[in-house]
Amino acid sequence: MKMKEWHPTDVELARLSGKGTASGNLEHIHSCTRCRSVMADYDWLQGELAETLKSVANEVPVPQAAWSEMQDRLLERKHCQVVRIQVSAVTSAVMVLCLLLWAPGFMKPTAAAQTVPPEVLMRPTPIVATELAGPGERSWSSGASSMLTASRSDARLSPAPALAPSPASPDLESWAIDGDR
Amino acid sequence: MKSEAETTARAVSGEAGSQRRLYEEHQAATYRLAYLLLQDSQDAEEVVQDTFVYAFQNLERYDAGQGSFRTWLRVILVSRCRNKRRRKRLPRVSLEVLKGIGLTPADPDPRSDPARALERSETRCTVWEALRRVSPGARDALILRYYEGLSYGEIAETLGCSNDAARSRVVHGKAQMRRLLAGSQGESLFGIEIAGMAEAR
Repeated sequence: MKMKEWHPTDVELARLSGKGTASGNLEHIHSCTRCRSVMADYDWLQGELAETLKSVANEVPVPQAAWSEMQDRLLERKHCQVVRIQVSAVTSAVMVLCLLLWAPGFMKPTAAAQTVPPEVLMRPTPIVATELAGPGERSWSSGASSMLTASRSDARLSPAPALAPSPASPDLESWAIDGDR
Repeated sequence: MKSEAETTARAVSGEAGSQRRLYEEHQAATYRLAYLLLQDSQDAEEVVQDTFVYAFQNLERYDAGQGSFRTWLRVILVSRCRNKRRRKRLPRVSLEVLKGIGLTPADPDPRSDPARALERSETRCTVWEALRRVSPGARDALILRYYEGLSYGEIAETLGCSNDAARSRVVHGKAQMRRLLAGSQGESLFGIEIAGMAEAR
């Protein structure tokens, strides 16, 4: 009795009607009038749909296969493609000519930019508080590595080259103590 | 008699005679499918012309190893039909108009009972009208399945979707059609009472 309360959905039955009944649903469909009737609907629909489509397709008047018309269209398309290529080539040539005539300095800045080498800036030598601090005193440079805090002469020996100047203003957020964030 | 592969190979090499043969061989079937998909003779004619122009201009892209020329043509046609439909919404044509333009399917057996023939004709008209109201994706899948007789894999290839999606479109299309054919008054072409079924659910 419990089986009959549950029914597969219409979509599930439509799916089953196309490929035969799945074993899990077979028992239910055999015993359920409603599901059997829906399955029969789908079987009828499939047959009727195939016949209707075939019938409509056979009834519809098919226009004559006019090869000459098709050839004309093919030639027209080819001609259009050739014209489009020619127009784009001419347009490109005219644009280049216009640039050379009306903007003669157009190429100069680009060339100049390419010839001038990038300026190499030297980062200023870091000044470290450890130089002034005594042997037993605590250093102020909390974030600096041991290499940076070694000596001023060491720092001079290996200057870090940089292509861009260092930022003018310090990043204030990086100075904040963890608890302030 | 040349085989299709030979004709196609010659057409690819640019031989006009073979191109003509391919066109004449496939034009009618292509038009019929286009008509079923678009349900408008003028649109179908335009799309068929476009399909052949595209096919002949891109014949070098056709790979005989992947399928027949008809399959390749079908993929182009279906894609173009979908584009056409996107640009133009399908007009709704009533059953009376369909009958008026002579699209009412006739009974193939003239010896059969005229009343029965009329009934069948009306049934087919109703099925056709219901098919027009099904969502476009599902309708395309139904036509490819029940007119062209394609497998789900072939439908998937033609529509550019997965096998599961193709199957799902067919199944949902059938379910939609069944609901449409059941009618709004609880009466059904299937001879069952839908309102009672809804209660049972």
